[in-house]
Amino acid sequence: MTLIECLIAMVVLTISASILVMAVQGGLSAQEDALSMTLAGTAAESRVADYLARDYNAIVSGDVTEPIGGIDTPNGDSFSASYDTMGRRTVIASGDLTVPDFPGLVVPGYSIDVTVFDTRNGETRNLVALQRFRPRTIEESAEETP
Amino acid sequence: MMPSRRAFTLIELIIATMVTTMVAATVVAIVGAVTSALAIQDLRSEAIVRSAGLQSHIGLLSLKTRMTLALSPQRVLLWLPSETLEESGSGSDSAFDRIDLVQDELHWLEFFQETDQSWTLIEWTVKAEAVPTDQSEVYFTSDGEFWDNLFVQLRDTEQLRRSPIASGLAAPEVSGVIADAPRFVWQTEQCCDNRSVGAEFAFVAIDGEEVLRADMRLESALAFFDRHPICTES
Repeated sequence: MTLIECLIAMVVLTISASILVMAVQGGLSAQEDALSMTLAGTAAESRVADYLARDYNAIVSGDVTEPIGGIDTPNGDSFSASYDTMGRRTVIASGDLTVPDFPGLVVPGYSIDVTVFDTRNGETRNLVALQRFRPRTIEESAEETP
Repeated sequence: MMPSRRAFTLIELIIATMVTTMVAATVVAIVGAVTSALAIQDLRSEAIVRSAGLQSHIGLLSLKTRMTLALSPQRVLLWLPSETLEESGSGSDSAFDRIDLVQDELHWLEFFQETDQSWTLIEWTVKAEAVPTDQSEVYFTSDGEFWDNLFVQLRDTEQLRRSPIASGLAAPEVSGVIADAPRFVWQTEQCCDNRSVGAEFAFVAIDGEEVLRADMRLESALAFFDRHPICTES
């Protein structure tokens, strides 16, 4: 084998290795994003579950943003380190829900919008956005009626 | 006469040795990096797929559950009444008091520690065929101890079906500290008022001396929470 053949073999090997590394890196990056979205989904669902589980009268309209690394459980504990790169925005707005197929049917309640975000290359990126409606039940309406 | 082949010079041999060493070192480094990356990929894949399965399972149970009857960090009891909401929600129907063991109304979720120190999330349900007909009814109570005793009695007499939901789990990190065990989370310890159920746990993989972790917190609201009349009276 001449030196030229040897050098060509080295170049081919280096290129192959680079392609392998790039493929693995690409897979890792995509998987990291997928895990972030999965975790973000659980963080958003946790907030939605918190509001759905509250007494109707304990829900207050508002717009609250927990900064990145500051997501808390309903008990006030911090979420684990896996969630440290994420923040969460919760928007609660009172409003009526109308059902197109049932004209005249109006359901009072609160809309719950939860967005979990992180930053990538200095820009904020929304990982997950969940929207739910917390209706006021007949029992809760009856409790308010004097 | 055969032509004689020239032997390699010392310089050629040195260059060949250097090239071989460089290529070998590169290959070893790449193999190491790829192996490590694959370990991380395994952990992430496992975390994504298994947490989705768990979330869906807990979500389905919370959709059917009307009340939690007993809450403790490693075991919760979910009540899935077999009667309709219309029947049970009246507050006066005796059917809501009677819990039929053979109608799949009770589901215990338990974090169980295996001999290798890992944790398994188990769902225990009553084996309908194993319960004598004259012992198939129990009545609602907000006394958690009663339900714990019932669990032990049914388990020890092999009247419970053990269904592992997820294995190989680890204790989660909570507020920067690794807990002793995976645990269930809920809105309030008062079963009569509690309207959510969830779990905190971790997936862990060992990569050489490095421990890779993915901590999870799953939480789901009871979609059709139904407060028992006894709770209102008390």
